[in-house]
Amino acid sequence: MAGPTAESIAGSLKRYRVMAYIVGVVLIIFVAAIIAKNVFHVIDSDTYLAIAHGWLFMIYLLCALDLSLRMRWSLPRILFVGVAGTIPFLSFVAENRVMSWVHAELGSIDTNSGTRPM
Amino acid sequence: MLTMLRTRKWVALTCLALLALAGFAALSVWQWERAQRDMIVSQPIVPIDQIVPGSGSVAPDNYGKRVEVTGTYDRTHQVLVRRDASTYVVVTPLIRPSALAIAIARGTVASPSDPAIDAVPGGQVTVTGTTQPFDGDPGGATTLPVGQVSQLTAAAVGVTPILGAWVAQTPAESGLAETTVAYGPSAGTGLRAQNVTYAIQWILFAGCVVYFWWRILRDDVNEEIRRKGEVNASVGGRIAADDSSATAAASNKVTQSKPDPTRKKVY
Repeated sequence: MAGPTAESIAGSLKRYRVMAYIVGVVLIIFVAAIIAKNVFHVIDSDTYLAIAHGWLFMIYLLCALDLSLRMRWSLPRILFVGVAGTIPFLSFVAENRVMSWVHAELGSIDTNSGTRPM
Repeated sequence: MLTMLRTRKWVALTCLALLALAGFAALSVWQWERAQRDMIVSQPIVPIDQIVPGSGSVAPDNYGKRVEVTGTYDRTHQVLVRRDASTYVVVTPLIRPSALAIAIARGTVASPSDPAIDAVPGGQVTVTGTTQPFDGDPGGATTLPVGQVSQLTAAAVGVTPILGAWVAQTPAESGLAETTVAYGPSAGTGLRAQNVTYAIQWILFAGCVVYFWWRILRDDVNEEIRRKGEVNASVGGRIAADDSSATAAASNKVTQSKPDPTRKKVY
């Protein structure tokens, strides 16, 4: 059996990147809401953002694990990418790192060549 | 696949997965319990004099207890405790024959001119609620209008002798909103949505552990099959070479059994 194809990795990477951006933005809004609620007392509730982040983070984690397994990354690297979805701004850093790792390991994956280079 | 599971790596990975499953299950249960923390869950109702013995201070363990008290409201000593510009707690002392009076927070209003404030039930009433501590230092003079106080204290209620704790009526008097309390369950609140979703998510995370455990195992087994296929090919090549020339076979073995150097093996 051949390994994951370049297209399947490209799809997985795209899903991961979309989720990394969404989770990153929602997380920053969530943190702003926590500060607005507990420090400045200008809003009453941040419950909906907490719930939204909870579900989005779950999808993010699935995408991150999916990509990590396709790329056969090591456990520390997988953990870093996963945890990044819970720390403000870190998901953007992680997304950046992931892009550079994928490019370093696969070269440009925009080419729709058949199987992934071994 | 069973051979694969017996390798040291897979015993370790399986143990890790089981540990994660147990941990996630525990976290889910914990969040489920947290989701219920505002609810009155079959807490027994006890006579108030049993847990609050007098007008002195009350042990923190005895706050937040569900109690039932019977008496007659003294509407002349009713006060509004101003929590903020749109939160006023309506506190009315309940007078009991041959027992200490008790400050009852009947509920909360958004405006000090709400007509529900003056709708005090007459005659003998039985109130159910939770015990709460009085606020601390009442501070100096305030600019609040007559009938309003900034702190809920025994002195602010102005009836003596009075019990050393107040009771937050739960559920609040009809027409009044629930009173926010520091201790114990308050009525009218159900499961906390945030913790309910976290509880569900921990279960789903547990499902992910199983899925990814299986996926990594499948990848490993496929990898093993692929590797064996290569070895077989090299063995086959050697046999074929044996038929023709022994020296060729030796060189074949060396070249073909060499692992692919570009193949990256991470885990």
